[in-house]
Amino acid sequence: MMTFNDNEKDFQEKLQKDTEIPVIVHERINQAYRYIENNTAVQKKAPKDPYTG
Amino acid sequence: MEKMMNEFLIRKAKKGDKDAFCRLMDEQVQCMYKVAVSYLKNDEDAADAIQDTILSCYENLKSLKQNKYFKTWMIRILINKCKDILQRKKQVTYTDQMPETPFYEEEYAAKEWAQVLEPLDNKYRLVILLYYMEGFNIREISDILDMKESTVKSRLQRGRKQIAQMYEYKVREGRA
Repeated sequence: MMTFNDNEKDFQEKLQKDTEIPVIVHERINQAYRYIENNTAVQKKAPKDPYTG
Repeated sequence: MEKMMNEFLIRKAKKGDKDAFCRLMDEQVQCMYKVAVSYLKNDEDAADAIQDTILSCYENLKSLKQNKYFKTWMIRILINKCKDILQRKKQVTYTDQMPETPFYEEEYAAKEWAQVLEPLDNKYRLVILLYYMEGFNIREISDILDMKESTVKSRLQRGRKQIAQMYEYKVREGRA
């Protein structure tokens, strides 16, 4: 492990600061949890069509 | 403490405890989001990659032999999902004759952590993010990115030089 200088410590602090998670990310995460809860996780993972997602 | 909690949740999740699995993944959201959005540059694609990662981790958790490698394993899955999304977009881009330049969302560019990361060259960015944000060591980063340790080391060294230059520039411009 390298030793960090002051600039790197500042850089690291900025990277580690919690960021606001966008609503769309929360929605997809909750959707994944629902698939898991309802045992439909595998069905969801069918290959995606590049045009329709 | 965090590692002990994760170990506890991984063990429960492996036994089929869905709540434990969801709690475990909740702990990883900050990390997953930063990695995915710095790779894909927009929230919608990052959300897709994260969702696919969660489902893939759920399906394959039992195949993880050593729980201490959970995070390395999960980030590796996430990066592969990001690559898949970029690959699919390239296919669409080719067909639709859209420009190949990556689309940067304003919201992403406005985030402080993204602002310190973006001036770095593309090829150093992910190595730097994993090293400074998550504290992964060179061997772990080499596993995650499927890259030689010597390559990780040299990218890390060059990335560090760019960070130093970035801070020198800030001082010169009076922005420090």
